[in-house]
Amino acid sequence: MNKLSIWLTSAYVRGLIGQVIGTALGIGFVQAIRGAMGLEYNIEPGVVFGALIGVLGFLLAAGVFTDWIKWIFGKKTPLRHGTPPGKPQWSRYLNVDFNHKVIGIQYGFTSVLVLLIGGIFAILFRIELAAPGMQFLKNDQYNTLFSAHGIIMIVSILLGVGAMINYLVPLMIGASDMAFPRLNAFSYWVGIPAVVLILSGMFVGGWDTGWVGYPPLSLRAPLGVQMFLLGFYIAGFSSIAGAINLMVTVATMRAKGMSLFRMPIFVWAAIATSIIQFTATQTLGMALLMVVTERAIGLSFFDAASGGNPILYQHLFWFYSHPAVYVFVLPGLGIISELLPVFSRKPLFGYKWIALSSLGIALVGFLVWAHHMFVSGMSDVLRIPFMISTLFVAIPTGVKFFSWVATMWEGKLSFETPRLFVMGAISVVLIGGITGPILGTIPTDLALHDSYWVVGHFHSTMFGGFIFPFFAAVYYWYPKITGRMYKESLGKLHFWLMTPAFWLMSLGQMRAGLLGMRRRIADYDPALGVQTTQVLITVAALIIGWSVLIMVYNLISSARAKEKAAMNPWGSRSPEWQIPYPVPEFNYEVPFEVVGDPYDYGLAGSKYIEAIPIPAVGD
Amino acid sequence: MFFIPSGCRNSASSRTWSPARVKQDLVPGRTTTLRITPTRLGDYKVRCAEICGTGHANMLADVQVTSADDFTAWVQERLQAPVYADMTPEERGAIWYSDPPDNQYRPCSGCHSIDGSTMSGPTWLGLYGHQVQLTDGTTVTADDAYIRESILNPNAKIVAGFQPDVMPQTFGDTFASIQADILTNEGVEIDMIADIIAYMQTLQE
Repeated sequence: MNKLSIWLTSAYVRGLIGQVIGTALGIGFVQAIRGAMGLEYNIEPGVVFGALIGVLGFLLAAGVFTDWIKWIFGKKTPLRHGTPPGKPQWSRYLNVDFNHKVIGIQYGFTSVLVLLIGGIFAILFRIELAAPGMQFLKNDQYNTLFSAHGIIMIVSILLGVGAMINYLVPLMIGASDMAFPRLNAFSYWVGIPAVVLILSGMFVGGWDTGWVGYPPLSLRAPLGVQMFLLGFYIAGFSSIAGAINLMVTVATMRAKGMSLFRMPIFVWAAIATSIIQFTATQTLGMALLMVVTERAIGLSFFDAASGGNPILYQHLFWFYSHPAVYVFVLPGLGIISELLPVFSRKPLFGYKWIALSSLGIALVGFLVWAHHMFVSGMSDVLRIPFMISTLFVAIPTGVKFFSWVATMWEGKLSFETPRLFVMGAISVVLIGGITGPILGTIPTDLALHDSYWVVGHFHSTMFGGFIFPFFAAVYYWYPKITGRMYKESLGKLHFWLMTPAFWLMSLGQMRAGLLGMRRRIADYDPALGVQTTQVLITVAALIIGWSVLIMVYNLISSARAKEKAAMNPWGSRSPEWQIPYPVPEFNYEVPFEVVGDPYDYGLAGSKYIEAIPIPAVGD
Repeated sequence: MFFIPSGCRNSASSRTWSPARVKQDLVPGRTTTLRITPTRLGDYKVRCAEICGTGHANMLADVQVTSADDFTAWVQERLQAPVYADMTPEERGAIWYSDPPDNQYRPCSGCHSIDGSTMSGPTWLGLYGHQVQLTDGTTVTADDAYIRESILNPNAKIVAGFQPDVMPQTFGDTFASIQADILTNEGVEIDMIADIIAYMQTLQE
C-alpha cells in the first residue's frame, strides 16, 4: 500500500467520514420527525442530535467499538498487538491501536497540532488587539476567536496530559500496558470528534461566550455555541475513561516490590490527576447538557423569566473547572519533580511530602470553586470560607516548590534542554502561583476580576504547569521514543526565545489589568494607556509561536537522523531507561523487582530496580 | 451618590465596573447590591466587565459623583413629575435621549454620544442632515425618514464601522407605550421620535 492510501484508509479519515454521515443522518432524522409533526422550522434540535450521532459515527467508522461489538455477539477478539501484517510500522499511529505507547504518541501529536491551531487563533486576535479600533476583525469574529482559543487550548492540555500519563505510567511501574487497552484507545479517539465539533462551531455562526459559556448569554448565542458545548461535553468522556484506566493500572499492575512510596513521583501526580478527572468531570457535563437542552428543547434551568437561576450554572461549571486546572498542572508539576533529581544528581527531597502534596492539591482544589464567583451575586457571607480555602491551596503547592529548591541545593546541576524547560516551568508557575492569592482575596478580586490581570495569571499557571513541563518531557523522553537525539542547539534556541517572551507576555498582561483593561474585549479605550503594553504582548506572542515551530521542526527532522541515541543519555534510574530502543511491545521482556528508593542518585551502592532472573528450564 | 444604570441589556448578565475598581454582577432574576463610599467628585465611566455579546467592548455608561447637597437637589428635581405638554420638542428630545421616564428603556446616551466620541452606536453630533455611509457601501442622508427607520427597525441600515443586532429592536413598542401613558396623564399626543429628531437638529457641530 502506498503512503497516500494508508492515510486515506486511516482511522482519522474513516472516522471523519463516519462523523459527517452520522451527523447528516441525525439531522435528517429529527427534521423528518419535526416535519411529520408539523413543527416550525428550527435546525437546532436536529443539529444537537446530529452532532451526537456524528460522534458515534466517528467512533464506529474508526473502529474503536469493533471489539466490543463483537463481544456483544459472542465473538472472541484477541488483543491485537504489533504492526498489522502488510503495513508499515508507522501506520499504527494512524489507526486504532491498543498499545499504550502508540496511544501516548497519538495523544502527543494531536495535542501539539491542536496547540498550534489554538495558537493561530491567538495570534489573529492579538494582532487585532495591538492597536485600538477594529482593524481587520469584526466584533463577533473576535469574540469567536477568543472563545475558541480558550477551549481549544484546554483540549490541547488534556490531550497532552493524556500523552504523558499514557506513555509513561505503565513503563514507570513495570507494567506491560494499561489495565484496559481498548478503553485506552477509546479515551484517545473520542477526543477527535470532540475537537471537530468545537472547530465546526466557528463555521455555523461562532459563539461569543468565552470558554465558560455562561447563561443567559449562551442561551442567546448563535448556533456555534451548541457545537462548543457538545464538543466540550464529549471530551469529558476521554477524561473519565482515562482516569478509570489509570487508577486501576496503578492499583493492580505495579512491579514486584514497588510499594506506593517507591513509585516514580510522576505516578503520584497521575493518580491525583485521575482522581480529579474521575470525580469532577460529571458536574461540568451536567452544566453543559443543561444549557444544550434549555436551548434545544426549551427547558428552564437558567432563564430567570421562566423561573431559572443563572448562578446555578456558574456553581455547576466551576465545581469541575476549578479542579480541572489542577488536572492541567499536576502532571506537569510531577514532571518537574521527576526530572530535577536526574539533572541535579541528587535524591528528590521530601519524596513522600511531594507525593502527598499532589493528593493535597487535588483535595483542596475541590473546595475553592466559588472564588471564580465572588462578584456573581452569590451569597456575600459564603464568599469568605471560599477565600480561606483558596489561600490554603498555597500550602501543598509550596511544599513542592521548597522541595524542588532543596533537591537542587548543592547538587551537580547540568542544563540540557529538558532541565532548562524545567527551570522555566518553575519560574513561570511561581509568577502564576503568586498572582493567584491576589485574586483569591475578595477585596482585591473585586478590582481585578475579569481584567487582564486574570489573563496574565492563568497563562502563567498554564504555561508553567503544563506547557513548559510538557516540552521538557517531550525533549527528555524523545531519545526513548524515537531512538534519536534532538538537536540540542535548536532546543536551547527554543527555550531562550520562548522564556523571555513569555515573561514579557505575562507581566504585560498583568500590567494591562492593573491599568484597568477588561478581558474578553475586542477593543479598548486608548485613554487607558495600555496600547504599548498590548503591542509588546503581541510581539511576545509571535515570538512564542515561532519558538514552538522551531521545536516542531527539531523533533521532526531529528527523528530521521542517522545517529542513534544512547540507551540512557540522562543517566536516569527510572525503569524505562534501562531498556533499549525500540521499546519492546510489552515493555519489559525481563521483569524487574524494586529493591530500593527511586531517587538515590549519588548514594554509593544504592539500587532502584533489579532484573528478576528467569529460571532456567529444569530448575 | 452614584447613578448606576439598571436594566442593562437583559440579554445577558452584565458586570458593572466603576472607577473605584469594584465589580458586581447584575443577574436577571435577582437583586444584587454593591456598597461603595466615593471620596472624589467627578465624572466617571462604568464599564461592562462580563462578556455580554458583540458590543461588550463598548458597553459603558456615565457615572457622576456629586456632593450630598447637589444630589439632594437632583433627587428633588426628579421627583417633580415633568409636564411634557409644556416642553418644546427639543427639550423632550433631550429627556428621551438620556433620561427615559421610569427607566423604561435603556437611554440612547448608553450607545450614542453627543460629543463626537464613538460608542456602540454612531455619535449624534453633526448627524442630522448629513451624509452617512452604510455597511453595504451606499451613502444616504440622515433625514427624518432615516432617523425614524433607524429607531423602529435598527437592522435596516447599518452605518459602516458598526455592527447589526446591537441596538434593541423594541423601541417602537416601548415608545408607543410611553406615548399612550402621556396621552392618558396629560391629554396630549407626543411623537417621541419627532422630539428626538428635533433634539438632534440642535446637535450641529
